[in-house]
Amino acid sequence: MEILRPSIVGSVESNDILIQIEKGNGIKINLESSVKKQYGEDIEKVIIDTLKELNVKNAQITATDKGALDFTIVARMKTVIKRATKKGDVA
Amino acid sequence: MYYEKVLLNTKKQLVEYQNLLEAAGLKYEEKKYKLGVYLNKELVGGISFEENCILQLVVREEFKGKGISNILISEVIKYAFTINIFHLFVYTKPDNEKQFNDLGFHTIIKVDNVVFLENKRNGIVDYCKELESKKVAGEKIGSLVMNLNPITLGHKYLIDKALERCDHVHIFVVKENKSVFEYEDRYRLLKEVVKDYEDVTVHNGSEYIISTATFPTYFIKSEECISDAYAKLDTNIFGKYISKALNINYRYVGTEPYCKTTNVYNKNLKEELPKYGVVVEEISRIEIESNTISASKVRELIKKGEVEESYKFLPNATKEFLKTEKGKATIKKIEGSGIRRH
Repeated sequence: MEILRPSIVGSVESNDILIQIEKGNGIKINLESSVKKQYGEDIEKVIIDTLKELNVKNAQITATDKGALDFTIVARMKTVIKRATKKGDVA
Repeated sequence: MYYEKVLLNTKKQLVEYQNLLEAAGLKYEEKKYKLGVYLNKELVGGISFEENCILQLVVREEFKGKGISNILISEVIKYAFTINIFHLFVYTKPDNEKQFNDLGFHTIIKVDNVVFLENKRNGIVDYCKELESKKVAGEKIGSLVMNLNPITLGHKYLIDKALERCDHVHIFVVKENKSVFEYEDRYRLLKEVVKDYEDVTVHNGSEYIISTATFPTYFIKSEECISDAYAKLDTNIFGKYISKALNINYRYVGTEPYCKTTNVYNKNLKEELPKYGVVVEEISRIEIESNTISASKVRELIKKGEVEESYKFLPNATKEFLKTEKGKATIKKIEGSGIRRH
């Protein structure tokens, strides 16, 4: 799937994650997390896996994590991709 | 602990926001979108948004480091995206730079106490690459930034004088669509006026050159300083990025007899641009029948209904434009408006 417009979902409340997606060359992830030291790689893996699952090959992700659990990250990722790839004039 | 996000609209809320800003040494300026974060009915942080610009971010001193600015910034980004504004700019204090960086903003420039950021990764860099493709070789490369509201013989004179002194001249048209003459008309009329000039390149303006939408007035108190901080940012962006992309080493401005803001701006150019190897030269304006030509004088005449009287200040392209349907509509607009400087 191709990213058509920038999109953003989530929040920076505790246990959530704010994810922005925009066009890019290849996959680039810019992650900020309160638990980056312990879980940074795991979070990135969840993000990359979701991108793969939805067949997104070019995207730039900016994520600010506040200790979101894996399924939250997956849900947020799926939504942000859906919004960014939807045809027509949808914000 | 629950932080409540509230749009600030009532008088009481705005006073609270204003007090918060003032305590942080910032001046409150009315903006369209204002968001606050409350804890136990007490305002602990706020942020504003207008056009494409995020500003007036403030968090109560005791509540710093608790992620309140993250809440505010992310809410504003989400709001902007819902109204289809994706290219965002930020004016903020250096203290907040990292917070914005973490949320995907990239610093364009830092001047004194202001950091200017954008959320496009390579926004200004890409713009400069585009400019670079129009680079012209030469020893003296001049530049002019003009609003042309509308283009007059005074502007043409300025261009001619710059050309006499340079091998090539780059002209940027201010893109901001706040002038009575629309951007596309101002741009097109300039193109027409210089169509026989070989050594002139006309460039589209951009968010990076004099865009009043992003005027960070709230940092300063007095009117003179207002233009000063703005001018300083703008001139430094020109020096650091734009002049470099095109090898510009001269910038020309007309002497400014009327407008204080423009005067401050010119003064700033002279102070800041030499740091980047750009010489700033002022060119005296020409007079016609002992009247200094200026676009604001032209608009004044039009407003008084003396359109034909204004012709003596105008090149043919502008005269012809005023006779078209669109030109007539523009005249109507001027007649119905207050006189503005720009």
